[in-house]
Amino acid sequence: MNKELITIKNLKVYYPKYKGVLRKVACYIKAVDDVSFGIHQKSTLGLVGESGCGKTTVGKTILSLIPATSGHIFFKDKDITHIQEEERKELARKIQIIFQDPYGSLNPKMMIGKIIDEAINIRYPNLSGEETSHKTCQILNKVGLYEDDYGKYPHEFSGGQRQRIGIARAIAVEPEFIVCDESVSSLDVSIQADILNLLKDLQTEKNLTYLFIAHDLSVVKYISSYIAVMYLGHIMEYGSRDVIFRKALHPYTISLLSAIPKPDPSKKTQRIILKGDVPSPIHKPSGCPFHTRCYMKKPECDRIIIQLKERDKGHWTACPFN
Amino acid sequence: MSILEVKGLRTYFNISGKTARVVDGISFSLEKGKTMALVGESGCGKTITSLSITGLVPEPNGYIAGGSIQYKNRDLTKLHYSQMKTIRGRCISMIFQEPMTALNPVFTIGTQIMESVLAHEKIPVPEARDRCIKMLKEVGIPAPEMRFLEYPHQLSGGMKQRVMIAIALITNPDILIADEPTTALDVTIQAQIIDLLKKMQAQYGTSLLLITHDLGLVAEIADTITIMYAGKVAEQGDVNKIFKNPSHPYTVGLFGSLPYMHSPGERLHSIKGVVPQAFDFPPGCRFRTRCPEAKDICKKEPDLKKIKNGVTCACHFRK
Repeated sequence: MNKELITIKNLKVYYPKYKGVLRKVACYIKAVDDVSFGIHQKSTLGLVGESGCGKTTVGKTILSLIPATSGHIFFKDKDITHIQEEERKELARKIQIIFQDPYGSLNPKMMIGKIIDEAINIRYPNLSGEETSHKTCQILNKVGLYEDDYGKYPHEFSGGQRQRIGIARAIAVEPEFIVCDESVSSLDVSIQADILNLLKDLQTEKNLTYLFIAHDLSVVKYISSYIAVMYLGHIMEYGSRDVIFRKALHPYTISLLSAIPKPDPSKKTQRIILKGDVPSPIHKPSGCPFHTRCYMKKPECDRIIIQLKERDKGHWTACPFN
Repeated sequence: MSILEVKGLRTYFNISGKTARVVDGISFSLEKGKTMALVGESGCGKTITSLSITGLVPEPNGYIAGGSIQYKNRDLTKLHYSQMKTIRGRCISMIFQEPMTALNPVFTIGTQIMESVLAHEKIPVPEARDRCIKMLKEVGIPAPEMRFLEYPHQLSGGMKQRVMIAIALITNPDILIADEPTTALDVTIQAQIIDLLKKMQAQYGTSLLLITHDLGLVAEIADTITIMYAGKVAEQGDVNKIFKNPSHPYTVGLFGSLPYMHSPGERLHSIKGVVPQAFDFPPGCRFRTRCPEAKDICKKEPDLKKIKNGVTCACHFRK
């Protein structure tokens, strides 16, 4: 097995919530609460969960876009939790992100060639203009766009093509690690398949490591080698893809898996339907955060302190009962 | 018995002197108490089809250029705006993709659901109120008396979608059009809403026209399916047959691109290229620019015909 490229230890990210004229801190929103995991080199970790569970916050904290409240993030054994602006720029060459909405993340007044030139200049500051644009064209070809697209603006592209531009910009700095934050969620299935294929090809070719944040479990199953399931700021279950999809232990994972609508009318399985909504992270339930919706709830669940424990080799779950 | 019969519906848009043939000859029928799914990628005209049925095509650019929509011996395309008002919301209701934007933020849930009853029935307000609260309870809203007085922002996304379903079903319509009812929701909430739709359909015997791009959802609740591509029907028929044996190259491509159908090492099949713009659909078969099987004959428009396994398909090569 490869070494861990990213290691996260007891990461906590709290957002203060202000109140009143004096903007006193009223309470904290515990977006990420004691999360630990590692991502092995050249592998893909799928981070799944419902909206508001803190999965995007984890991704952004790795990029130092959001400061961590406590805990540590290691990139190749180097602590990158609280780095200075200069170092952060340095780090941006190694770690990149592809956002969900490719339109909102591209400057509408910039030609896409220039957008990618900018990224290349960060990686190779000494290149001449001609060499830079030559490299840009190579990258455009790599992600399935054409050299003629160099002079076009973002609005001239379709959603799938824009996502390719987002990918081109991310790989232009030749990073080792890419955070894909819901990168295929807003695309049609046929386009989604294209982008997933492209991400897989790039991974093999450039030895990339991905953190793939998504809520669509069938996509996560397809692309990930490891899966972490998050709920209200906690990791509920972690394991290799096969373990999670075949032998899930945590009731939340089990109900999440049973909730996927399967494109097969002959398999109308009985699904576990969770009651209610995800509680707000401001008023998090005591004990196990999932106990308010759990179908296997025991009386002591509102008191226990949950901890991720290894059940089988490489299979971690936070539920002490199942 | 079919309750809604759409025949050769054409809805066009005139935009800066050009005509966009967004819906171009769609036909289908919706059976009483059954569910039909209208499936396709964004821009294929599925939402415009539903707006045509409810008489909500954006004017003045959009207009129904031809075809008919038969509902109870009446052609909805010929009805006047005021006549349509008595049908829309009463006989044919709609729920939308975004429950967040479909509800008015400055009125309480109660006012909005009561509006639906009082607009169509002459009953005293207290009676309407009771009915609304009963309905809210049926769609699974806890403490309905309290929620009745609350505003949309106080409810979660799943709850808002439940309110939308309550508003749509309170008049006990014959047909419910659900436009991407679960797309904006989380997986576990999606499961709740799908379950609720099924339950309500069984209870009220409503016919459901489901508009979606989620083939998983289709497999779950639809009886028949119409696959649209660029404003035309590509394939149509029984859900089980089409999911088991997709015929049209577009349907094959659509199923091939689902990650669910593949084991992780496999490459996903994708459909190359993008959906053509509504202003310049290619003449002949509109899928031919992206079709792996395209030949010269495809420049001629294919007829929608019944093929061997009992489904209808618009492709020259399927017999």
